[in-house]
Amino acid sequence: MNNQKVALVTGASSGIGKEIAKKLLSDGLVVYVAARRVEKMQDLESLGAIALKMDITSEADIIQVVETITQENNGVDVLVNNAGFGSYGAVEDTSIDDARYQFEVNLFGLAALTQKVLPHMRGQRSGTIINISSMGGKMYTPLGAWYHATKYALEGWSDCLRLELEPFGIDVVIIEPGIINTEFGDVMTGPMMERSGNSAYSKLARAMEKSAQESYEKGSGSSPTVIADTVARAVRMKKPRPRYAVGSMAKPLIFLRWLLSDRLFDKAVMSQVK
Amino acid sequence: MTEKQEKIIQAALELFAREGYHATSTSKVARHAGVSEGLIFRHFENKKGLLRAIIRVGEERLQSLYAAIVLESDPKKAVKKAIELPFTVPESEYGFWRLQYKLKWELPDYTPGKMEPLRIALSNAFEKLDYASPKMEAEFLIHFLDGLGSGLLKNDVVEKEKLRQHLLTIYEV
Repeated sequence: MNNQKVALVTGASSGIGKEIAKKLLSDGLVVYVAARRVEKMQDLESLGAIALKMDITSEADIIQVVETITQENNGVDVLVNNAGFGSYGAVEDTSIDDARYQFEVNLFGLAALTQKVLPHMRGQRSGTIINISSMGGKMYTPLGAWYHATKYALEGWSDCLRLELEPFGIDVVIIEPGIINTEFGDVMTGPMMERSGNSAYSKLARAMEKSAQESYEKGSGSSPTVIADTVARAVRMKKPRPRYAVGSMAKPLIFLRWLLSDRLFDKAVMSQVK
Repeated sequence: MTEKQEKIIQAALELFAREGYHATSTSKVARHAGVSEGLIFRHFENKKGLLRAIIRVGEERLQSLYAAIVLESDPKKAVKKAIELPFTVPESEYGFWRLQYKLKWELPDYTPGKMEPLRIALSNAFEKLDYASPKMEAEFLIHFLDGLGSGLLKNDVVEKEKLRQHLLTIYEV
């Protein structure tokens, strides 16, 4: 038995998750990486990660992953709940099934996995749970109702979890990334245009598409490594902060939302999508 | 805000700025606004409350002006928008802003923290543009623009358009 910490990173096949996995590997942790697209994690495997196929919406997959890690390495010491995506489109145009799926991935799947790793963490009276939220957990953008609903929910859920786990020595950390150069923009705009590109909300959808392209394609976003560095720092720290807002736009926008009245913020956000 | 509240604030703004905050009584504000003094107390508690409400109106207008800069993800565009901000205020609003500038000095607990999002946003923009000291650049630009704002309000800037162009050239935006 060694004293290396064991980490599990979800959604590690791309973007932020992949960078977090790399960073934790270079910090010397035992790193399990999980995602649906297991073939997209070969690069991580060659760096020493152990890749497992997992669909976060499948309870059977989640159980399988946690059992594997428990057998091989006792259990998960650091859980990075990173898997997630943005499902955009007008509320009127988005089916409740699609909305439910957004919640399955961004909240319920994450919650189910967290439940399964807790007994081990409680038993050893230590552990770190890192939830990758979004600046979208604190402010909102047009046509993002279901996405923001999941992230606002994750923020509240994580706050309560922090209270529950504090007595057991388990840290809960919320990370609120800003604009990060990942597939997020493309994943968000495709379905949004399918749903609302030809509906009563088409004008807004087109404006949002343009604004997302500008934000994500011109390289004005931050590298995912800034999130990975923050996660690694939180893992190393004895007492990490409950929340970190990191990356392009995150801090000023969250602050602006806090400062402005609802009406003023509405006006400011809508002035950007004209 | 109700129509009467707006009337009271407008009247107080004019009187405070013209005759000074301390020299203006709430009864005078009431007369000027054409409302009862009791209504002022009901809405704003006292004279200090009225002053706070006036400052808040100014802050909210300022925030909605600079929000567009904070929401801009392209760093060059953000700096450009910031430089252009004082020039975009229409001259018809100069009266309002002159009074706001003047009243800033009357409020003992005036909090400059209200500009914080702009400060962080500009600092981030300068960082992306590879400036050596992004924080100081943001600090400098904000204070410079504040001074430029006073200058414009005092009609002290002779060649507005030339100056605007000059600034945009210096910052390469």
